[in-house]
Amino acid sequence: MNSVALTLLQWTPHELRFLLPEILLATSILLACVLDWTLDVRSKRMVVWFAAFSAVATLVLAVVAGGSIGQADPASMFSPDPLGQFVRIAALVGAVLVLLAFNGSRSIDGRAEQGENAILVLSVALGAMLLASANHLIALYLGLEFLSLSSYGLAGFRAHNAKASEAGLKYVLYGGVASAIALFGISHLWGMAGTFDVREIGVVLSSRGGVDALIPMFLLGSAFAYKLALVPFHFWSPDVYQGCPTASAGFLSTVPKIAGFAALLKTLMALLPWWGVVASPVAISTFLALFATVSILVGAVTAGVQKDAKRLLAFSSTTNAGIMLLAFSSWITRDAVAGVGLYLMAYLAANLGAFLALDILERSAGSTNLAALGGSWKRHPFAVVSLAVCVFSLAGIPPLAGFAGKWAVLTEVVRASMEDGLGLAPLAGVVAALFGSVALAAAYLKLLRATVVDDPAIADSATDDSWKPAHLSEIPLFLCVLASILLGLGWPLLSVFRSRIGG
Amino acid sequence: MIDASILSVFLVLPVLGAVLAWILPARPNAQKTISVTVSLGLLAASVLLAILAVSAQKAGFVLRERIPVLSDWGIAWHVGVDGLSIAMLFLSALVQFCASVVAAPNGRVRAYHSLVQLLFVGVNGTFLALDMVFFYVFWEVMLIPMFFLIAIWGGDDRKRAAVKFFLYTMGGSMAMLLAMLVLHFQIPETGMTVAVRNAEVREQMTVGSQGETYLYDLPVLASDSLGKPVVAAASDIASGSNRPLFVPVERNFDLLHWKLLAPYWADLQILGFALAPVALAFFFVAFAVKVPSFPLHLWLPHAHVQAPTAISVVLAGILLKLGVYGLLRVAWPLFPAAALDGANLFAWIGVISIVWGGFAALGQSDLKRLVAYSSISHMGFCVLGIASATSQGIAGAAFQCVSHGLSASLLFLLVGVVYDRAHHRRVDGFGGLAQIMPKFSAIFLLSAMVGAGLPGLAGFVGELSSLLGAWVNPATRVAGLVAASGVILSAAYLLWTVKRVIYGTVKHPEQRAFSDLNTAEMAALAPLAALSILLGVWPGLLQAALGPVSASLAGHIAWVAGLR
Repeated sequence: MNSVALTLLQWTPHELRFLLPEILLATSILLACVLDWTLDVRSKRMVVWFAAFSAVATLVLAVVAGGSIGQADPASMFSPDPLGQFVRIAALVGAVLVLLAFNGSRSIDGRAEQGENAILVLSVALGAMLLASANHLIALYLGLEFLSLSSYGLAGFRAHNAKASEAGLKYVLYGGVASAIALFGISHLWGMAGTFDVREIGVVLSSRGGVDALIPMFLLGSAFAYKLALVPFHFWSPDVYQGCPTASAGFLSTVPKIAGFAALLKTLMALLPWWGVVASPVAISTFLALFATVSILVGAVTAGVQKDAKRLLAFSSTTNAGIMLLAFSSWITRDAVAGVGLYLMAYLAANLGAFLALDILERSAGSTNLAALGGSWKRHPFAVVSLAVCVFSLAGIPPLAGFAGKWAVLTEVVRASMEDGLGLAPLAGVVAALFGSVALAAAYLKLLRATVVDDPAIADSATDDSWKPAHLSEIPLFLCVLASILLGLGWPLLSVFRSRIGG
Repeated sequence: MIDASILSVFLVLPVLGAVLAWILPARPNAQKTISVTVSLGLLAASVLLAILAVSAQKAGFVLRERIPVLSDWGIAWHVGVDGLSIAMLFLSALVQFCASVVAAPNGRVRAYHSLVQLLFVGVNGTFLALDMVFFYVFWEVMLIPMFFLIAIWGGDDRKRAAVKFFLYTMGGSMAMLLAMLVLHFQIPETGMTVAVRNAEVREQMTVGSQGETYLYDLPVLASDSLGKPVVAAASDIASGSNRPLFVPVERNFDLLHWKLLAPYWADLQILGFALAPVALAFFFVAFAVKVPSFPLHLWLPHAHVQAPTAISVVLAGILLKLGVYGLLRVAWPLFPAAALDGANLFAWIGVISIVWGGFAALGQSDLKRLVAYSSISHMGFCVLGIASATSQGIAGAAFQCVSHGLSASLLFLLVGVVYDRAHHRRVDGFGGLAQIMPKFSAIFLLSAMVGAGLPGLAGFVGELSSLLGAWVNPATRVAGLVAASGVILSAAYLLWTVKRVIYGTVKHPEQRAFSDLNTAEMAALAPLAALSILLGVWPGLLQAALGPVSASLAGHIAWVAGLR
């Protein structure tokens, strides 16, 4: 613990300057808590407005402070680098969108506790920001825990609902085990390297040639795989998404994953010198490609047999995460990182959009069961068209955003496989990703068939045809759709990512 | 003077139509007027291009433009039209016109017409694209509208049919995507210099302001006595000197550059395996799904039977032709040597489609299914012609695309007419319609004869030319002989159908009340019927556009194969 204390002592107000957005957000969370306690039930909606406003303010501050990115001392526990900045912006944009969606909709299950929900959304965003800018295993763990604890709250929010309680409990138990395993791995790494700083660990381990460090690495890696819902650590995600309020599920399926990918990327990059010592590049990229392939195929095939739209999207997220992991099998080149950046943007827009659209449909249909969603196009034409755009983007159909992301990732993997002598496994992963996409498309078509094509079930008393979403809640959905279309045409973003976060 | 910017009309007009059809309040006639207007505009534009193509009488691109858009990734907005793509664009506009005139969606009118317009953005874009990435993007753009058009407005089993269509086609596209990515990264990052065929230089040469020469925007180099490339003088090429000519090719997705690289692809090895046959197989799968060719044809009868009449017309009239177009524009130009090696195999794939489709059509009791299987059979001639890789065979395949586009559209429209009157499509549920619906019966007989390849009608030219091509190439001669039996088969099932449906006594007295063709149906059928006769008696009209392109492709194939 000595080094922790030392690091803390080394912090000066000068260093804190780089964490101003996080500090502002943390302060806003505390203020929102106070606000939530003091306001009476009828004006709780003010809390959501306050949360949305503070997320926007933090976003502005983060963008303004973006100029000083990279000046922070990389040896400090948290040092926002361009990748961290990317996650900051993504997390805050996601938070603003989902808060707007909360605000426009009716209270969840008729309860007026949206205030707490909004506070939890901000906390998840803060956790994501901290996780992505951690340079230090303790900081990394703190970020991961902050993110996870807030997520449990968000998932189990409808406490009186059996499915929600199941979701919350499953999430807590699974998450608790995963974080204990991560902590166990971290303690081993500290024991071997004598430091928590990931860069130093990479240097120390590579000089001592530690093959034995593979075990704690796998332990730490499984915590990431859990956060990203990669096979075989994905079992929680369908249950959690299903039990969670739909808009929150959209948030949980995107922002924590983006942060998880950023942290994984950062750790992998810091450990690159060590990777080179313990195994050949071919072996490591083969391992990553196989790991990714399993997630891609299992996610795609399982999604096809789901009867609930949210479970379907949960398994499709596993496939999408697998494709992003596949990018890392290219030995984390600049282009691969830029490609993952674009993929994450496309995924954020499309997946959040799909859940927000589903949220609107669910309120009329009474559930997200595919059979109940028939005739949605009659009740909510805008939400259904939006859902179609987002889902086709997720399926990687050009000219939508998902295609640009998939293109960027897969081209780089093919290139690396052919030119960098990484063997054929990454190429085989690309083949799996392409045919996994077809299997996944079959699942997405089931969802679209239910919502866009099917007529309403006759004499369905559960549906509420009179309900119309407030226009405000359609704005975030509209923004997601717009991003899904424009990002598909906005490939130049890739060169921005390449020069900024490609490291 | 007309420049290449006119090509954007083929994309902008349907996009505008789609937006307009969506934002205007739903009134069937308003939306239909938009669709018809857009198709007439496209028809006018394609006729203009056709005049250019016929008057140019050359194999090269009549109009072409290349704007690098994502140079870091080697992607360029490269569009152009030669005789082949102009013929296809014309057919596309004509089919769109017919499909719009008879469009009768049962509800959700705005969505229907918007989706049809978007479908044609994909179709026209694919015919225009000369960059592999845009080719792929437009190819995929067709998927989504077609899925919804079948799934929402189709028959009872429409949803399964739509999913089947989507997954088959997407599976094929994934093979195409993989092959194109692998090929792209086989070009050295620094680019390379390749020798080109002098005939190609003459076809595609432009002269810059300094007198230097360009081929597809690439400077042409001639080698000096030491074998070192130098910039060729215009006079060098004009004089037809036989000095070897070289052009630099960058790492990109440009189809024309990739065509120049054909000798390079042919020699390439990955892990001891020759790349070209594998890549050709992947492209062939992607395109054979669309053609559709045995054994990837299974989605077609299902999709056709379930799709509404207008969409069946679009599917048979133009969507299937994209598969043939892909073979002619991408697969065969890139891998001529591998294609020649596999000529026998590809020819037999075509022949099996012809015979299998023919026998399956003989056994159908549903008129639409019958026409669907006849499509598989007739499109088999395209594959056979292309497989022969001869000038006649390729021209025949392209000609067959147009004539089948006409005959299949006619037949599907006519089946739509009887379905509209009788609400069923059983062959044995009709009889003696000639006494009741004379105009209908006349056109039905004509369409069947076009389909059966009767001399003097359009269907004859394409089939004969494909068979001639197959005969010329010894490797495909036997397959060609067997394929000739397909002509008899198609005469058998089509004329038998004609006999059962329109001749004989009136079997169902209630059918005496059927009205003959109305104005809209006539408007859709008449141009198709007229063109079927015109192209039959004056095939040179279409041949003027297709001939030079086919001869050039056959020459390219022979040249690359001869280098070994």
